[in-house]
Amino acid sequence: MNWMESIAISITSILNQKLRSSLTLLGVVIGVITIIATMSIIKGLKNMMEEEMSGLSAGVFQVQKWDVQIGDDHNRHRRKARPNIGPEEVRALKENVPLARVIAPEIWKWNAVIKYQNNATNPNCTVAGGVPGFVINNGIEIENGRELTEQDVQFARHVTVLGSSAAQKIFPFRDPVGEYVFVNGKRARVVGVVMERGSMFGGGSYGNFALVPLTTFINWWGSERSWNVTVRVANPEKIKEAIDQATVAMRVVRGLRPGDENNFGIWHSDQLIQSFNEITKWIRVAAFGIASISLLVAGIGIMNIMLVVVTERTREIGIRMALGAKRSSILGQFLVEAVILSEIGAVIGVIIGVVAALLLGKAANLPIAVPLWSILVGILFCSAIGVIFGTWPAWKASRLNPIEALRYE
Amino acid sequence: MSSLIDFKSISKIYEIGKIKVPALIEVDVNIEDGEYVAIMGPSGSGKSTMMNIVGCLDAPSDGVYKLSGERVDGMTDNQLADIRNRRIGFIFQTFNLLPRADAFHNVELPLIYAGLPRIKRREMAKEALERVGLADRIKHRPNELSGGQRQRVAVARALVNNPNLLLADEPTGNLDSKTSYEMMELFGNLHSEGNTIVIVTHEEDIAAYSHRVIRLFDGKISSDVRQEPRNGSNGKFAGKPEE
Repeated sequence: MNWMESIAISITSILNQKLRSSLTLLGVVIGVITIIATMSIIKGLKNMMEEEMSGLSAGVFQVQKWDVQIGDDHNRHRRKARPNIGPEEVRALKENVPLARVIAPEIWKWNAVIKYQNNATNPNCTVAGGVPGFVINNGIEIENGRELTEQDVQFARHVTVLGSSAAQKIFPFRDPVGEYVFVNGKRARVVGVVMERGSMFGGGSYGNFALVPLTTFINWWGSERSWNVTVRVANPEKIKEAIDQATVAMRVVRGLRPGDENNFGIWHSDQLIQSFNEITKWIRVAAFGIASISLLVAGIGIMNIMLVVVTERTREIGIRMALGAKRSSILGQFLVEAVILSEIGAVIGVIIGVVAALLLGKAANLPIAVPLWSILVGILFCSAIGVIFGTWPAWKASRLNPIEALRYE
Repeated sequence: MSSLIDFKSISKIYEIGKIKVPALIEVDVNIEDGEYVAIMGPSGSGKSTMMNIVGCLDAPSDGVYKLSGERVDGMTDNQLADIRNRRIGFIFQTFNLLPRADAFHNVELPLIYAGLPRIKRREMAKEALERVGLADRIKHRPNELSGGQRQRVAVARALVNNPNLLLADEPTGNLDSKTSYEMMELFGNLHSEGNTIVIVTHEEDIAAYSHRVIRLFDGKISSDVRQEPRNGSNGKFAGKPEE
């Protein structure tokens, strides 16, 4: 008995019981929708994040005091002992990383406030002390005015570049460039404004934000903070080698011996993606959990229906056996029917899942992408469900006694 | 003529709980190629059991059964399925057509299990339907056919694989008498074309069409008589019998 024949019989049989079949399919559909929609949304978030970080991902890495750490930090006691990064390290990097094009140290301060006359930003404004390379290395652009210059840094000028949302908040009706503001109480002239970026983080790290020269930052708030050093590589494809060079340079300047652990951290956007994957891992696990439970229930439903189908068609099985159907043909026929039943559910689930993901993406303004593998996983999973839960009813059908089956009313 | 069905000391004992119920007791029978045999007997006499064993739907508890010289007792399920498919054409009292399939597909079924290609199947199924006079009913489903037509579809299905043996279990049991006689006429024609026919029946006037009547009683053969068939032999029909 060939497969085409089994498939034709199965489709006829499923179509003959439309309501029953569709109710059975519901569980499969829900399971597949869960997989497709969740994976699409996660992929969408990831795409957006990569887009967000495109400034960094185009070949920038950062040397900093601490490693990028997600979740529980088991090494907190060791990290405390790390030295700050300062001018020594910057000099070492500038001398010993020939693959680097722009090396820009920066210092960060959180929970600042910027005031202009009676207007003030939210009190969670971030302030960075930086150098001219800050803008390019952080992947931002200046919309209005200029960025920092070498002279600003050299003479520790009291100037600032404002983030877009900070500028909008305290200068709702006028051009901020040329005005004097108070950055956490220190008076500075606004020389530029960062271009706003469409972002789910509301302007990202550079919205409610102010940039001042590194030297000015130290004069105002002291030098006890550790620096971050952003390094833009001339050729983004050589970022790994550049990181190696930077690691060596850092180890040498820190006087580490072979076998000593690095007492500094280096990260780049790949690590950010890794961190993202780390965070979303549990979302994915949960989605698979929900999908598995729903598919398990669906599988039991399929088994139940197939047992009913086998009972209903006992006589047909008897007839087929009398006409020469082997037990394996009967087994194959009902197995194919169970698989087709669950595959129909899978296809419906894929269609609804993709549409749902796209609609959600539209509603939430996410760059949704449906991962092909999630569709494949959904379909393969359903085939497996069909086989696993269809085997027992099909086996039962194949073991029927032809005489009794023929007599069945 | 060679021996088609050869029963040597065939017994069938059903075990219902701890009670053993003998359905056939050491039956010896020999049916030649080309014979037209009626098996008769009251209910419980073992005629259904005998038919099931002859049709390879059931295996005997004891004894040797040779079909066309080949021992079929002790064959595996798959081998028996193959024998049923190639050697035996079944005709049932209740027709046993697949209700959702049209006449063509019903007739095609044994060919599917024989693994024949689609084109060959189409040709053979059409030919079989023509032989029973239903060439114009190919696309009709069983519920669109009369009882007699349904049984003709069943006969076409039994014939389609050119089996050695046509095995009919009360083939006229669900037909009115007029249609019954038409059916017996068809059987007479098939017999005259060289088919071996075994009919299980409890109706004397149906058995009267056969050339040999085997009567069973309590699991044993009580008589085995060759006779002159009612309508003359070999399809020379004198006309319909009186009702």
